[in-house]
Amino acid sequence: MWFYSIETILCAAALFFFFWSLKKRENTRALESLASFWGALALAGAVFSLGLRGVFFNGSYQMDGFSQFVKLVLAAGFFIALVISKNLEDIEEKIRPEYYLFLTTASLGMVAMVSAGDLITLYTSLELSSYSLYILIPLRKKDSASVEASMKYLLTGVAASGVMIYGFSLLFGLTQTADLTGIAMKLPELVRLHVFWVAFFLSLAGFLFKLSLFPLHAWAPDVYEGGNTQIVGFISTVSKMAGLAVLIRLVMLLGPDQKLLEGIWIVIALVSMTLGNLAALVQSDMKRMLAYSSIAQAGYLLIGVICGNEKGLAASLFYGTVYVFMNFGAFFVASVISREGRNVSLSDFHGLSSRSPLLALTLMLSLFSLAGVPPLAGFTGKWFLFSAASMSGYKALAFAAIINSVISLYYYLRIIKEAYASPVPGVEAGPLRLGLEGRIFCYMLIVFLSVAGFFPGVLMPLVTQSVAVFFGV
Amino acid sequence: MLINQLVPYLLLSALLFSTGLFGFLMRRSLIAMLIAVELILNAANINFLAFNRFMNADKSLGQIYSIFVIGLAAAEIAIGLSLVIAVYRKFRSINVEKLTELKG
Repeated sequence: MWFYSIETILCAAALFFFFWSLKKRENTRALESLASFWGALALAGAVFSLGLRGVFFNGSYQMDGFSQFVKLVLAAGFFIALVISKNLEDIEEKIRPEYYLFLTTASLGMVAMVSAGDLITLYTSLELSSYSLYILIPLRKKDSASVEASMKYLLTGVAASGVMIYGFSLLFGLTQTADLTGIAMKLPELVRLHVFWVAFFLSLAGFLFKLSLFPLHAWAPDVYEGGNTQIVGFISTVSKMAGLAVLIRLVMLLGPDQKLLEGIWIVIALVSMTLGNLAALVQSDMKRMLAYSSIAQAGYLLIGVICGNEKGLAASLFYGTVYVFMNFGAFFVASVISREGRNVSLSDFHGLSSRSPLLALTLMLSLFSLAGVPPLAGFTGKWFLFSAASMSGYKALAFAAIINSVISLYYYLRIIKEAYASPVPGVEAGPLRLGLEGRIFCYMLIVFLSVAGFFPGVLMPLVTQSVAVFFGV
Repeated sequence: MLINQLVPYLLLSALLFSTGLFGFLMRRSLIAMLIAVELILNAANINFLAFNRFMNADKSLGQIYSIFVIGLAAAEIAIGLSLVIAVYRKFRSINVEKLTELKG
């Protein structure tokens, strides 16, 4: 039943928040609970529509196993973002409805992007999600940094999407169709043309921007520092997952010819990983550090795309799914710790283990998982990625990635050391109180990270099944 | 007739695209940068229409595409200009080099 699907629910939620924002009365508490309710509904809709298949609007919107699985992850991320947006100290109460509205439209754009079957849908949904995010960043209260961050985000974003649309126009001219399957059919005769590769690379610019990969990564640190923590968590996880999914879809259009791309991909992946990890070493602002760490993580995600086979793509998607949860864990802890919504620096983690053992444990597991410490989910994901890379003949790339994850361990451990090894809290830092949803979220996250780490067989069949779409199974 | 061929249009759009990219990288005023992005988008529009006119069997597809691009460009410029106003209120300047609060 199509009207239970996640797209319908997100549209309804966006309308709901829109009308709520027109009301004069301010009842933030009710709005927060309703927002969580809509998030849960969207997640339920995504679970429900996991089995939906179909092609709509003349092929411009397609639901296949891949898109439905990615939508499930996006819906989970949306739900988490709404649940952790309880204590928005840095956003004025009167614009909270707008905050939820744009969060919903951003998710709607990403969900549509994953299902896009032609270039018009792809461009429109990409811009829907980007524009919503440009507006979400400067909602932060009395902070000139957030306006600056949003301006930088917007400038990079519109330039990237402009380059992308120019690439699309060349692709349209070469293939004379905007339909992705139509393009895929025309490709084998085009791959010998130089202009095709120019067009293809220009078209990828928008997704490199979404994933904050090397040539288009410079916005990430400033935006992460300037934006409010919940939104930044959303950008770094959900938005990235959607970008990864569309990147996989576009690259898989090439079929076996994608091997011609591997040189450039390897350079992008290596530079993103190394640059991200080295720059993260010297940061003292937690969000800025997570920004560089997310650039490096995007580099890891690309490894599976480089492999281009079923194993590689499944590994990428598995790691992307796990990454959504573990990164949200880190951002959640940062958002709880921050005082009056200000940015969190390393010293704010002093004595976290005595202020709130549960938060400290969540933080430790999330960061260990990001670093790839066994037996957590992040380790398993990295294991799949690196083994897929070395089995596909990219041994040097896998080796470089392993060295990179060792480097990353240093800056993740610095935070954990602050949280655990300095037991004397400051004078004003009393015990941290977590709401019920916060506690439930922590427990769920801990369970997910350990279960997906110990028993990857729970998640892996789903992932493999969804990637099988590209291999005609 | 030159006007009835594909290549002049493609050259014009390539020129617009490079002017836009160059302007985006070289200009320091936020408004000039937004205008440069508009040039890039319009280069894409010219491409769509020219390919549609001279090559495509289905004469509507490229036009639909360019209408979408025009609409989204309007939305983009609305967000961009409102942010420029916000930047001007906080920083009293729209020079991108003055936006230096975030540096790590």
